[in-house]
Amino acid sequence: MTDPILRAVGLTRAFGGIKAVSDVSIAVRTGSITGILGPNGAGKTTFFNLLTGFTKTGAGEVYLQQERITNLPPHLLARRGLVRTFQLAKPLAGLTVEETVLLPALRVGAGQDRRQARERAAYLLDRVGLAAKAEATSESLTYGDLRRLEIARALMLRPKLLLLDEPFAGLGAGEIETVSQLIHEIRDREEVTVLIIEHKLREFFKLVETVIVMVAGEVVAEGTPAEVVKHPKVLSAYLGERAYEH
Amino acid sequence: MRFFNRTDSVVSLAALALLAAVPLLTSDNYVLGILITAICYAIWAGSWDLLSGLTGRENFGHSLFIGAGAYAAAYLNTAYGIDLGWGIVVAPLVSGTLGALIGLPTLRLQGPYFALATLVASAIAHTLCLLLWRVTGGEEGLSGILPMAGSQSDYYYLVLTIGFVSIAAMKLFALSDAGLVLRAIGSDEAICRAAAIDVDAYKITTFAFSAAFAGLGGALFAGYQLTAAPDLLSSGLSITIVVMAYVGGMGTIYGPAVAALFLALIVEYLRGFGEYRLLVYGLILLVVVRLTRHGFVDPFWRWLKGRLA
Amino acid sequence: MAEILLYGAASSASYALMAVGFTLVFGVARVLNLAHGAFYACGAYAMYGFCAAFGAAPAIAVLAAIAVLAAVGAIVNRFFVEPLRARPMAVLMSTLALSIVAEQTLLITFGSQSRNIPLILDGPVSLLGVRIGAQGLLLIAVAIVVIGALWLFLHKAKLGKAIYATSQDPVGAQLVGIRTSTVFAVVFAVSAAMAALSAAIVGPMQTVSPEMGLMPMIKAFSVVIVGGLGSIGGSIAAALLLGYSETIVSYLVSTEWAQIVSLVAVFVTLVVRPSGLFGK
Repeated sequence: MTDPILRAVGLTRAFGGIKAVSDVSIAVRTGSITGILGPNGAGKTTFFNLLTGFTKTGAGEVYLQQERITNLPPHLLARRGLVRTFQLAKPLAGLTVEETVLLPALRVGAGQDRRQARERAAYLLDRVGLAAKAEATSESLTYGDLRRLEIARALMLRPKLLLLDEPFAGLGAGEIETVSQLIHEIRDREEVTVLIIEHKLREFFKLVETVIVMVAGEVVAEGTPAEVVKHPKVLSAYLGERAYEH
Repeated sequence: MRFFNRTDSVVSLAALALLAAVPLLTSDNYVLGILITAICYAIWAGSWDLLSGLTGRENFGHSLFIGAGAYAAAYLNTAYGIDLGWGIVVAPLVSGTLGALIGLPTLRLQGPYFALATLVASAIAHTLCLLLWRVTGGEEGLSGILPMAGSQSDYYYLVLTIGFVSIAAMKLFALSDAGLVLRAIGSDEAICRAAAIDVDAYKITTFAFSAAFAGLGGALFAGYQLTAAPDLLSSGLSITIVVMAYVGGMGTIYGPAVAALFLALIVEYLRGFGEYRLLVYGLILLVVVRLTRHGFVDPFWRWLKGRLA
Repeated sequence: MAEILLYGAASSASYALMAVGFTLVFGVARVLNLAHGAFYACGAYAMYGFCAAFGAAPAIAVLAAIAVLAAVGAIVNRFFVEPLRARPMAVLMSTLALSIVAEQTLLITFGSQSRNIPLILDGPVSLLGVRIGAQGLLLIAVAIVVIGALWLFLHKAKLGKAIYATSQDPVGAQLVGIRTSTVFAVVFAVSAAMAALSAAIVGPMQTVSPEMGLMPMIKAFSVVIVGGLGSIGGSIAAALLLGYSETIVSYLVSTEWAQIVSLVAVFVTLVVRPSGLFGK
């Protein structure tokens, strides 16, 4: 058994007295596709923000491959291979699709050969199915395209651990299938560990190997999808959620 | 070809040649003086655009850096007798440092808050300049700078050369990878951070560059006027520069510079009409903001190129 | 001490009148209105016009000036703010342009020499052993009454509640049937009217000139930033804070250094706590 790629120990963060994330400890197995499941407002995105340095922690520690990375700024974490996407995929105004993917390689000190970077960008655009739109402006893309563009940009950084914040949000059934396949391929071919936040159950359970369930800022269950669905706390949280969702 | 567009290069060199020919056509110091002023405005508007146009952080206190450069050069000359040429070298360093210092706490602020913070910073500098009159000369400013060139036309060539090189350098910077990163920062900072970009370092460095070029223009202007006056620190000047950038088309560098050149010349021409000058400015701004999104200069040039092609 | 107390109250009152109108527009319409100072100057000139041209009594002229500026406020909103609402910086530039045009138009029409407008209440009175102009006391009273009335209006009247609801959640307000365009027009009218009122009372104690709106607007800005953009309570608190600290610094050091005090306060507030000392 290899060491976990990421460990969070007792992560806590409160906003105005309300604990958005409360004493959360998890370990993500290297090479796995792990999911964090939870109803809206369970603190999933805050948890991601704590892991990736976008929000300062109140208490607790984060380790990437045994190295303490708590509260490092996002750009340094990204350079160490901890790369995230956002719940809302947004275009970068005025940049073409190719430029958007190239962006991580353009910074001062990125240390990438320009030709290699362009080849990598072209390869990734091809992988996510946007090769034909490389010269288009990113603002002209559909929402589904933007999602895949975002994943391509994240892969440009050659992440060790890819954190996807609701990658299916705003997508139709067909697009969800495509993105789902893409995530599988990425894990297999790029040797990336994937951590996904979602609350859409069905597609999610087909994709992930381990599920961590969060409710009201706390971890309530952990296991394979088959184990987790039978957990009483998960059932109650999700029955409640379904009652007012749709 | 992302870097050099042939038409653009040819036209800008032709414009340079035209401006360089002016002293051959007229020996009128008044005309050269107006052009020197206009070129200084072009440097100021272009340097404003470097930060504000690319990242969308609209700086309403650019005069702080212009004035700092002008006063630095003037003070070195009048207090220590250091040659104006050195002043022109030191001024950008002083203004650039100030830019980094002011950028450090303010660049975190969003939209209008950044605009207000820079406006207030320049207002503080302006007020301090008047209060510390023993050093700054108060309302009178620091006068009696020793001219560095023998004739007005010599100084004109100096200003034209520095102005052209500065604006070309800023344009190339905007077209470079760094410019692309800055535009991405202007669009969405969080995405850039997630893309391993040190957003703060980029913004502060660019603010320092922007301020340094403003200070360079300030020193050149003081060298022409032989005075550094408190007007160079005023909010009025900052706002004038923002207007010029809006008219030129933000984020294009050359647009604001060209707009500044023309507007400064028009204003100089309108000086005969005295009090209508600022009214015209206000009306132009009103029309530009109401009717256009990208100003006049850049859309006009694109349209013209389209017709010529 | 009594002097500081009264003069501080008077200057706080004038800041509050300007700042509350300014912050109301921001809080409800999300617009930074750089023409607020122009409203102030136009208010003073409107009063000047009514007095000089029609020989109106000062008290009548004030009311007329307020009415005119309320209309101007609504018109400015309709033609120079509404169409640009989606672009905050464009609104900023548009209102900035308007203020330049207004100032220059006043300059061309009336010339740069300062004008006098009559006091509403004449003569000095003695209070707490201090001789202070009756107009100064009027200013304090008017500020308390008008801001109090505004507060009641926002919390009790039907239209006021609609305005309050819009400030909390513009989209939601529209969904429950509030006509936000009307709300924005009313807010602009009220804000401009308050600037005119402030100018009509403060103007006679200072001088009336085309660029007279600039300083009061900078003060309004300062107060609003320190108090927290959009917060009326915060503006009142900050008006008192700045009004008194300036008065105290004026007494102890000089008027010039008092200016620096509020500018530095604004800069520090922006940097340390952009939401304002009294904001959320």
